[in-house]
Amino acid sequence: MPDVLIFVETVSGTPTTVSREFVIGARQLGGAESRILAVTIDDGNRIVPEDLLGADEVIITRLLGTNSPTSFDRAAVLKDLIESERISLLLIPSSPIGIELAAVVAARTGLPLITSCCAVSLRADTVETRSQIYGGRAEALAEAALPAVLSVNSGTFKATAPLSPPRIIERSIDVAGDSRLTIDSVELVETGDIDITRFERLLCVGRGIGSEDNIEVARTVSRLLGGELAASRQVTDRGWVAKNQQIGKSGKTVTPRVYLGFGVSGAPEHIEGMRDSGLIIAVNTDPSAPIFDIAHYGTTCDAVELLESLAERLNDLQQ
Amino acid sequence: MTEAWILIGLIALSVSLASLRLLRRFRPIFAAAPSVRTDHPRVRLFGALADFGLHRRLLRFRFAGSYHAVIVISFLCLLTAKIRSFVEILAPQSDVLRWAMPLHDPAVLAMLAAVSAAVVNRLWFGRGRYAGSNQRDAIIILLAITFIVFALEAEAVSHLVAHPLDGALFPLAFALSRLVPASISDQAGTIETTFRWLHISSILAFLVYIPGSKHFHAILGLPQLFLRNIGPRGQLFPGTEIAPPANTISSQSRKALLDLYACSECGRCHASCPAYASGAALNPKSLIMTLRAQLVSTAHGKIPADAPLAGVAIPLESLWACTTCFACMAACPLHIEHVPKIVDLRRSLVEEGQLDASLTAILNSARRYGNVFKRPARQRPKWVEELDFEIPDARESDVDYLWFVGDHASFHPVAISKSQRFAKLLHAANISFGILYAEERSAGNDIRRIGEEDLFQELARQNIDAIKECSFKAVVTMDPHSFNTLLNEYPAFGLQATVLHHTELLADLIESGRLARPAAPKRRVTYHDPCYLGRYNGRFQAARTIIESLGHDLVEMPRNRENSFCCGAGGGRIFMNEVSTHPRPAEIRLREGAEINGVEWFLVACPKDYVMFSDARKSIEISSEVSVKEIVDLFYDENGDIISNLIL
Amino acid sequence: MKIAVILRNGPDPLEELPIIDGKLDWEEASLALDLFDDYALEEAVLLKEQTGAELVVVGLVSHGVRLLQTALARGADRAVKLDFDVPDDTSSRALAPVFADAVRHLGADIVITGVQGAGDIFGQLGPFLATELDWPQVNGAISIEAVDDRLHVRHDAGAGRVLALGLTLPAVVGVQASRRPPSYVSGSKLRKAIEAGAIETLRLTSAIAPDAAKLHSLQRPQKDRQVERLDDDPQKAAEQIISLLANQGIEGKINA
Repeated sequence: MPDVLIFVETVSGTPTTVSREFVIGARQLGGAESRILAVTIDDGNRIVPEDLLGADEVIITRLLGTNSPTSFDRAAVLKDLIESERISLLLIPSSPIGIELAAVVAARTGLPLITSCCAVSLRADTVETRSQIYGGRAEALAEAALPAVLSVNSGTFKATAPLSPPRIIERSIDVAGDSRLTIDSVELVETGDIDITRFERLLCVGRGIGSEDNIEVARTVSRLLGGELAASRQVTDRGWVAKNQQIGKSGKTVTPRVYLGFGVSGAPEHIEGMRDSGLIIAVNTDPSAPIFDIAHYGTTCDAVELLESLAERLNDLQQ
Repeated sequence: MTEAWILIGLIALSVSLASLRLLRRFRPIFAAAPSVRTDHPRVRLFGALADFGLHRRLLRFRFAGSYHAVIVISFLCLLTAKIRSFVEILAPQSDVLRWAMPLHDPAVLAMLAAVSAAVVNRLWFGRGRYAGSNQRDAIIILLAITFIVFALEAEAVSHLVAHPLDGALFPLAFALSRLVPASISDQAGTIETTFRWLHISSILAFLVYIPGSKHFHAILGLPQLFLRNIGPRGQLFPGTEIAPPANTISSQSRKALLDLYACSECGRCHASCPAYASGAALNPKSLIMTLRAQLVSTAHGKIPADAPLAGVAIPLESLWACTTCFACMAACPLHIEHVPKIVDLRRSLVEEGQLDASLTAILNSARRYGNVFKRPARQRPKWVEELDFEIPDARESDVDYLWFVGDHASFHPVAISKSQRFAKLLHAANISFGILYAEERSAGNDIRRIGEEDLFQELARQNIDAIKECSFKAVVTMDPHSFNTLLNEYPAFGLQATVLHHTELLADLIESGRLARPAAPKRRVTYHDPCYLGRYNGRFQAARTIIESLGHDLVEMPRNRENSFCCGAGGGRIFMNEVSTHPRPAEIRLREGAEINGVEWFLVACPKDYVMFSDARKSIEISSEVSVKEIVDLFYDENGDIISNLIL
Repeated sequence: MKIAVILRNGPDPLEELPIIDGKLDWEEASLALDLFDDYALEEAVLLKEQTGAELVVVGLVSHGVRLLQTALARGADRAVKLDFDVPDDTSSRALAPVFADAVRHLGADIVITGVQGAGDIFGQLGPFLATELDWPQVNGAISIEAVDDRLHVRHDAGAGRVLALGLTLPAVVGVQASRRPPSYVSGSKLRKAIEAGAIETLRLTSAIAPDAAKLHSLQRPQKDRQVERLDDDPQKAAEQIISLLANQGIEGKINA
C-alpha cells in the first residue's frame, strides 16, 4: 500500500484548515492500510495530535540555523524524506507556498508532478488525476507513475471512517542552506488589509443579508470554510464591510474556486467581478434574482438561517 | 504745456510697461502653433458682438449677469469722461465729447451700485463658485474701479465748484459741489487738477496691472469670442490628422494658451460640473488657473516650456474624472475650451500607457473585439435572438433606416431590453430597418474622449466601410454618444448620411401619422436631456413632442435642456473605477427628478443613462412611485405589449 | 545587468475553448499573452526603469511576433524569437532546458516569467528553469527590486504573510502580480514598434525534457450553467453545500 507524505502548512504554529482537510482526504485516498505521514517544516511547535486526525505520524521538523525556511530548505527536507521513507506519493496543498514548493521538489528529485488536482485516484503503480486548467474553463485528465508529487486543491471536510490521532515525532535537521536565497523578513499584513483575491473560497454578502448584525455570522462561516468574507457594493457602501473586500466593477475581480453569495442579487457590475469563479452557489429569497443565471447551485433559503445552519454543521465537523 | 508733456510721458511709460508685461506673457503664445480660427470672419464677428452685447451666457446667473452688464455699460459711459480728463491736460479747453456728459453721473451711480453688488455676490450669494479664485486680484480690481470712479466724480465736483454753470449736466456732482465748504472753494481748481491727476494715474497704473490680472479678460474678451470654435460642439478635433498629444505648454496651440489668459475666474464652469458636484477631483476652473500659472512661469523662464503637464501640474485624478459633458464649456462666457485640453492631456497618458487596469481592459477589448464589453464580435447580435421576428441585415438588403445599435445597447444586460422594445415597435409599425450585425463596431465616441485617437480612427474607418456597403435613407441610433460621433465626427472620415436619434424618428412617426396618439393613462413624467443629444447637439424637442403627443404631463426638472446635469457616464467614466465620494452624479440627478411632486416616470433617452439611473434607483431612498424608463417605454403598456391603437 | 523575460501565449481567457476530441485545437484557439507573463513583463519594465538594465523578451516562434512587438512597445530593448519546433501544448517543464539554453546564450543574469501558465499542469516554469540553470529562484513574486547586487523580492505567502526574500544574481523569478497594472499599448505606439522592430531569431538545438507525467485528455468541466436547485430548508441546504465543497477536494471522482 502506498506511503503518502503530506506537506502540512502552518500559520502561527497550527496547521491551516486546508492542511487538516488534506490529511483526512489522504487517509481516504490511501485507505486504512496506507501509511500517512504528515510533515511540517515551519514553526510547528503548537501542533497537537487532534489537529491532524487521519495521519499515522506527524513529523515536526525544526531546521537548525534558520528561523524562516526558504523553498529550497523545505525542498531539501522533503527530498530527504521521500528517499528515506520510500514515499510513493507526496501531496502538497495548492497554496502560494505549496505551489512553488511542489515544483521545486519535482525539479530537484526529477519526480513527475501534476498540479491543480481536484480529483485523485491511486492505483498500484500510478496515480490518476483530474486537474483544473485554463482558469477552470477545462479539466485535464492525467496520469503519472509512482512515486509522484501532486499539488492538490482544497480538500475534504468529512471523514467517512473514524480517524485516529497520529504519533508526533520531532526532528531537528541541519540543512545545508543555499545562501543565494535568503528570507530577509516576514511581514504580517494587518486584517484591515485583507486581499480577497488571494482566497480560494469567498463568502460574499449582499443587500439581502439584512443588517450589520448579520455580518458576523457570515464572517465566521467564511473562516470556517477556510476562506474569507467579501461583499457587494450595497454592503460596503453602508460601511458594514471594508471597501477593500468589495467584489465588483468598482471593487475587486475575484476568481476563487468557490464563491458563495448570500443575499446577493447579481447586478451586472457585481457579476463582472466574480463570473469566473469555479463553483458558484447563490442564496437569495428572490427566485428571479439575476445571480441565479450564472450560479451553478442555488437556493431560496433565507440567507441568515442558512448561515446559521452552516455555522453549526461546520463547527460540528471541526470537533 | 509741461503738464501735457508729463502726461504724454506717463502714458508712454504706462503703455510701454503694460506692453512689456503683455509681450513677455505672450511669448509662449507667439511661439505656439497657430490655430486656424480666422475662417468665416463675419459669422465670428457678429456672433461675438451678439454674445457679448446680449450677455447671453452671463445672464444665466441673473444677478451676476445683470450687474456685470451694468459695469460694462457704465464703463463705456465713463470712458468718455476719462477721455475728457486726458484731453483736458493734453489740449485744455478743447471740451470734447460734450454730448456724453449727461451719462456721467448716472454711470457713476450705476458703477458704484454694481461694484457693491459684486462685493455682495462674492461674499454671499455666489461665494461657492468663487472658491479658489484669486481673492487679492479681485479686491484690487474692485478697489481700483471704486477709486477711479470716486476720483472721477470728485474731479467733476471740484470742477462744478468753480464752474457751476455746467451743473445741469451733472446733477449729482452739482448737488455734491453745493456741499463743499466755502473755505476750500477757492482751491477748487487745484483740487480738480489733483483729482484729475489721481484718476489718470490710477488708470495708467491699472493698465500696467491688467496683463497680470484676471481683468485681462476685459481686453481679451472680444478677440476670444471671435476666435471661438464655430464648428459643431460634438466634433472634438477637426480633420483626420493625428497630431502628437500636447503634454507641454510648448506643444499647445495659440488658442489653447489664449484661453488661459482670458479666464476671469468666474467659476461658472465648476458650478456646473457634475464631477465636482459629486466630490471627484476635477475642478474645471482650477484646471484653467493651474495651466495659466504654468504658462506664466514658462513665460517668465522659471520652468522649461517642455515640462510635462499631465500627472505633474495637473493631477491624474482630475484628468480622468471628467465626463466630457460640456457643461463647463456651455457655461463659460469667454468660450474657454476645457474639454479639448483635458482630452489632449489624456492622449499623452494613453501614449505613455499608465492607465487604470479597467481602462486598459476596455481599450484592449475595443481593439481586439470591436466592442468594450470583452465579447467576441459574433456575439454582438445575440440580443436579437430573443425577438420573434428577423431583423434584416442591412449589409444584404436595402432598408430605410440603418440602425446603428451601439455597444451598451447591444451588450449591457440592463439596456438590451430597450433595444428589443425599439425593434418590436419598428417592426409592428412596418418600418423598414436593418442592423449591421457582427460588423458593427464601437462607434468610438468615448474612446476618442478617453484619448485613444488612433483606435477611434480605426473603429471609425471600419464602421464607415461597413456602412458604405449598405443602402439606406438615414442612420438611426438610440445611443446619443454614437449619434454624436456619427453626426459630427464621422463625416471627416468619409461618412455621408443623415443621422437621427431614435426620439427624432419616433416623433416624426407620430407627427406624420404613422403612429397614432392613443389615449394611454396619463402619467406625470420628467425628462432627462442626455448630454450628447441635448447640450452637444441641440436636440431637445423630439422627446418632448413624443411625451406630449402621447398625452402625458411633462414637468421639467430645474436643470433641463442645455442645463441638464450629466449622469456621470461619459468620457469613459462608466468604464473606470468609482471616484466620487457620495452622492454620485446619477444619484444627485435622480433625486432632482424624484423631488417633482407626483412624478411617476423619470424618462431617459440613452442606454448609458438607463444603466446609470437604474443603478442609482437602487442606491437612494426615493418614493417607490418613481421608476426609471426609456422613451420607448412610453409606447408600451403595463403588460409589456405595445399600446393598442398605436399602430394604424 | 541583463533581464530576460520569457513570454508565452495561451488561449484567450474570454473566448470559448475549442476542445475537440479531448484536445485543445490550437489552430482554432484565439491566443493572447498569458496573464501572469503580462504581469511579469510589467514588473520587468519596472526593474529596468529602476536599474537601467537591458531588457530582452523571449518567445517561441510558434507564438507569433505580435507578442514580441507589443513587448517592445512596452519597453523591452530587444526581442528574440526562439526558432525551436515544438508542439503547442508542450509543458513548461519540458521546455525548461530549451529556455535555459536561450538564457545562457543571451547572457542574461535575471530571468523573469509568469508564475504559471494557464495550461500548465505539470509544474511551473520558474523552478524547473532555475534547476536547469542551477540558479536561486522565487516563484510567486509580487514585486522585484534590485538592491546593490541582489534582488529583493516580495512573495505573498498567503494567510496574511508577505515574505521579503533576497536573491543573489544570477536568479530566476516567477511573477504573480506586478506593482502597477500592465500598461496599455496604444495603436500608434504599437505601429511604431512594428516599424522599428527588429525581432531577432535564435536557432537552438536543445532537447526538451521528457514528460514525466502524461496528459490523457481535456474535457469541459462537468457543470451545466442551468442552476441546480438546492433544498429550501436551511438545514438540508447546509448539508448539500458542505458535500458540494467536499467534492471539490481529492475525494472527487476522476471522471465526474
